[in-house]
Amino acid sequence: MIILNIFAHFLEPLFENLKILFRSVWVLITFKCSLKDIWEQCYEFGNKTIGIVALCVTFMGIILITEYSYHMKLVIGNDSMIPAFAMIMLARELTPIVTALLITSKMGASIAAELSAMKNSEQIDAYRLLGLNIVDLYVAPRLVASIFANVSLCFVALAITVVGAWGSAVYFLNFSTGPFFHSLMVFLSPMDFILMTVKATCFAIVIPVISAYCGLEAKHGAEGVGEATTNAVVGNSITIIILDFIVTYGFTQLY
Amino acid sequence: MSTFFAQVKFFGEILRRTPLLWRERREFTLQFADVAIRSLSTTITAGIFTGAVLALQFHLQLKDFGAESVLGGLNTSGTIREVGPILIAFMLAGKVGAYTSAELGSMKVTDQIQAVRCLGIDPITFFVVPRFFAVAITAILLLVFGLVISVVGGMTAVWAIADIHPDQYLLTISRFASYSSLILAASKSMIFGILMGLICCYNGFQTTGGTFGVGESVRKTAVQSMVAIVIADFGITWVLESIFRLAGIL
Repeated sequence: MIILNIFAHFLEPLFENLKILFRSVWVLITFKCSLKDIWEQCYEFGNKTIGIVALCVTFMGIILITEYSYHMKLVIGNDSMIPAFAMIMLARELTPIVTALLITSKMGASIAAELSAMKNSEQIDAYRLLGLNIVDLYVAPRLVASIFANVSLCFVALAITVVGAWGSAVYFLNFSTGPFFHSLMVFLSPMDFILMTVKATCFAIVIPVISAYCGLEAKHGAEGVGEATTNAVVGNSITIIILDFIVTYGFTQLY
Repeated sequence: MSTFFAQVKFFGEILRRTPLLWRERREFTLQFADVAIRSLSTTITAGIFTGAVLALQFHLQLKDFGAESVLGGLNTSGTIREVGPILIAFMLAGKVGAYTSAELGSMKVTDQIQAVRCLGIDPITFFVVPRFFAVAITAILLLVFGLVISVVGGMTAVWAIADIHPDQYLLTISRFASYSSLILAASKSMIFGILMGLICCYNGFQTTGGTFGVGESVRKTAVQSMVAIVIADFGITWVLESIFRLAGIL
């Protein structure tokens, strides 16, 4: 019985999340969602986060090159293949996860804060009185926008990391531009881009759903809002890193 | 940019009041225990999966060259030097930082901080200083703990998936993870912890605008912590590697 209770404790949030997800997918399939909302949310998710994504990801590229040079010198004593190794690491792993974590902290937290504040001021009950479901109005457009923005931001971020990596390779490691770009593409295959897209899509689906769940479950008062926002950020980050492991493991079987 | 200067000023204010921490030791202990216990599960999950994911990635890269025997050392070194601190610090910024920021923010919007000021007590000494030190010290300890856990996670993943025995994995670690890597990891943990403490206390203390403002300040904490962590990571790596290179212990 205790085990059942523990299971229920973990499974209940999962079912609630899936309910939100299926509801919003259903709304999208039946075209009950306004295009204007989706367009606005794409602006929010994409254009407003591109600044911090670009900033963070540039530094990631710079650091990754110096770190790889350290390890390559240790292992094979030769650093001509650094860009190739660094590039597959960036494409397969770091770009999707860093982009998703940044979008989580910016958009996920703001979704949770907004929904929990709406719940506090009883706006969600008002919507229900009018016969409207908050998931249809609020989560569905954000789901589309999140997927669209996250996938495109990933590709933009990858391009930016290449620039950062190039700068750092030329400045710190005395690479020339030609050999750098020549060895950049050695190991990169279309499969890596597919993996990156799949990862970005999975993370993007998670973000609005979990944030909306945390926002809708918020307790009353200012503390409830704070707690809901914190839960959204934490729940998203943990889910993202676990999903990352699962997707990576799935793809290692394919390579 | 003005936020940055305001935060530096705020940091100065906290440091000026550091000797008064002894007076608030009870609050400090409570906060420390609360934050540490609350974040332990997050740290363990983050650590295990960070190690495991990176182990998978390194295994994929090394497999083509038949260099799987060095996987343990390479993965451990790569994780504790660079990717591990960043990813685990991202998780902790959400957990530790955002929680404290929400707590301070809800105190601010319900006028508890003003009430304390009315009693003639300095709110920064009373609320912020114990929280800052609690968050910073917990974050430092949890980051180091998370890095240790990440080694376990990587080892387990490699054992389960790539069939490399833990003994072999552990043996190669000492070949790659040098003292300089440990120093790098420890100093990264320390600076990230201080940054998280500062950013969450500043944003929580500056909260305005009712219930929605609390959510906004939590969001700001998460975003600013992540940006600060990535930039600090670059700075620390650069400075320390130059020092190591000069000292000749790379």
